[in-house]
Amino acid sequence: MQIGNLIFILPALCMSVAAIIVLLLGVVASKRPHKGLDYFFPAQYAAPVFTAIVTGIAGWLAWTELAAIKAGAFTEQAVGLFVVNGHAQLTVDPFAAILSFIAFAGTLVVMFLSQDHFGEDMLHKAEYYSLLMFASVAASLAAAASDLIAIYLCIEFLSLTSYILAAFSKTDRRSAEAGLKYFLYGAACSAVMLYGMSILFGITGGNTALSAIAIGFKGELANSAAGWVAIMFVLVGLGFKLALVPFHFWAPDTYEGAPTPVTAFLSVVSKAAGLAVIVRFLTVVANPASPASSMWYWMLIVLTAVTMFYGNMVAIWQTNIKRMLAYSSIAQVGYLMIGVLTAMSSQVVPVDSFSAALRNNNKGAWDLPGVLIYMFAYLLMNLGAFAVVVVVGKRLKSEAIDSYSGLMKCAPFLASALAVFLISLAGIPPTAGFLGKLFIFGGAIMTGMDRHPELIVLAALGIINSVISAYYYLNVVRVMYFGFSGEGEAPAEPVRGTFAMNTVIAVMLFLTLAMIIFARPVSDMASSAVYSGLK
Amino acid sequence: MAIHSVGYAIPVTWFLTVGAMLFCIGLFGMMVRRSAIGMLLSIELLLNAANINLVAFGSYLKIPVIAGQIFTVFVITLAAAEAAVGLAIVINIYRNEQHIDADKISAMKL
Repeated sequence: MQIGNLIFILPALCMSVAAIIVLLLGVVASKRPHKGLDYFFPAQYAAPVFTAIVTGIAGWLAWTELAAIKAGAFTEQAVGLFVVNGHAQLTVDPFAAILSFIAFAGTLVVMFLSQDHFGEDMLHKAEYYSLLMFASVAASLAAAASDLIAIYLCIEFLSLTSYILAAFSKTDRRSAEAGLKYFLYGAACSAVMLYGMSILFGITGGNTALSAIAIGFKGELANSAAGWVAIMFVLVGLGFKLALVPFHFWAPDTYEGAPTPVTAFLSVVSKAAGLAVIVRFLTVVANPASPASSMWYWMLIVLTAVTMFYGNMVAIWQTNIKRMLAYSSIAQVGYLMIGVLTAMSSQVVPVDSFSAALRNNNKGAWDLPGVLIYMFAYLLMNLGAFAVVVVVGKRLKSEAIDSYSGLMKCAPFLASALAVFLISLAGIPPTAGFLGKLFIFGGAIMTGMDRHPELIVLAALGIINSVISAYYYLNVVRVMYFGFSGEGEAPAEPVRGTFAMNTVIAVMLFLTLAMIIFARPVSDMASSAVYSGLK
Repeated sequence: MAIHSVGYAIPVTWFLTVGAMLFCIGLFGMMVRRSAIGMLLSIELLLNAANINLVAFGSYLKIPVIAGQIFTVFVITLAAAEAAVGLAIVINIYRNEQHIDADKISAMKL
């Protein structure tokens, strides 16, 4: 083990310490509520302060890694932690560093949302905020996990904290139900994933590192029934985290029942972690360069198409805005998966590590940079939409889309912000969502022109789905601006967010709109994170 | 497969069969049990099926590796944490609903 390498997981380490501090502060403060410590430094302010610092560290780390790549000084020795025989448990490459930054930044926003949603007098607030912090640690480590043990531990760590968060409103029946459903599906899926991992471990000769498994998992073995079962089972667990279609049953109920900030967390941070793991797993172990893997490649293509259609088609009929966003986020994962599949299909020879996969890849390709850009755009627009839902839901005590009727009159800022976020989710220019979709669909078409016609079909389906999704996103905008033809009436008194919430929404709004202006630096950053410099 | 069974009285496939059986029983339990506690038990079976696989593979490989057992220790620890979280959620459900029948818990309609 190299101590110096610990600097690569410095954000996660700092966050763990901060989470423990918040937990202890809460215990001390709860002795004398509203006095002393609870008055001067309560958990709901301590947690965002610590998280902001950690987000800064994570951003600095990602920035230095990108700078090292630009200078050509980034070597593979510098990557990874606890390196044994060249196989690391965690590989903190720029891809992981950026996703970990996304996870911490997302958690920071979720904390502001929680402050507004739960208010000052929340029960067990120290526990709540420290659980959020621990969950972000898990997401940040999952982004770097490149070993079966590390992947399983990070995914389970994230899941366990998320189960508690989903069930956090103890007296709310819907929250309890959300927690139970999430727990039962999640525990079963991760147990299936573990069983798949145990087979993968056995048939590749007792290796747990993904890079070592990739070396052993070739030819005959990849064609065998055991290999097939192993990959399928692992994909079940990862598909659950992403809510891909056959494993999405938990998503609508959990998203609707869980407290809204937790829903926001699950839809962004938890998915970023799942995405990072699936990218690593698919490009290295389930590499389509091995002949048999075309089976799961094709299966994933079908699942991606079904995921997009299912999410969008069902979202049309929703009357609860949280449930609508839940289905829309299922569809959004479909778009992200197009990018992942493009990256997967670019592999023409088997590789033994993620960085090797990247080296083989076409330098100008848009697939993985597209995934990073879209993930960041998704963070902005989805958390922005949830921020407005939190503010409006708290003031109007309703999550029905009807209750947004006439919101433009009583809350022009919130209504226009939500309109922009929804337009961005639909992928209409000039928003961040458009930029992300441009890269993902463009990347799929570029690779597809070469030798993969199925990717062009997938991109076309993605564009059709964007059009379908525009229908229900813009329906909310219509209700807000022109009122609802039914019984819905404009709320009597104006809806106002707190200063903190308005600032958060304004920042997200600015970034959603500004990302297209900074398209060049953003795309440069994303592509250097994924391609050049790795020697 | 880099697995041999020379020198062992019981071939590795027997262990794997037990693991597979446990896995199937666990999956079957997840599908048919309606009580949340029953489902929790099924999840434990699923996890232990994987544990048997890991330990069996670890000691029957051509070059026995310790990683299988290390993995299993992690899984056992996690299973305990998972059971704690699961029971807490189930108790909370019981306080709200006075029953733990997973089929009847549907405050939200699909």
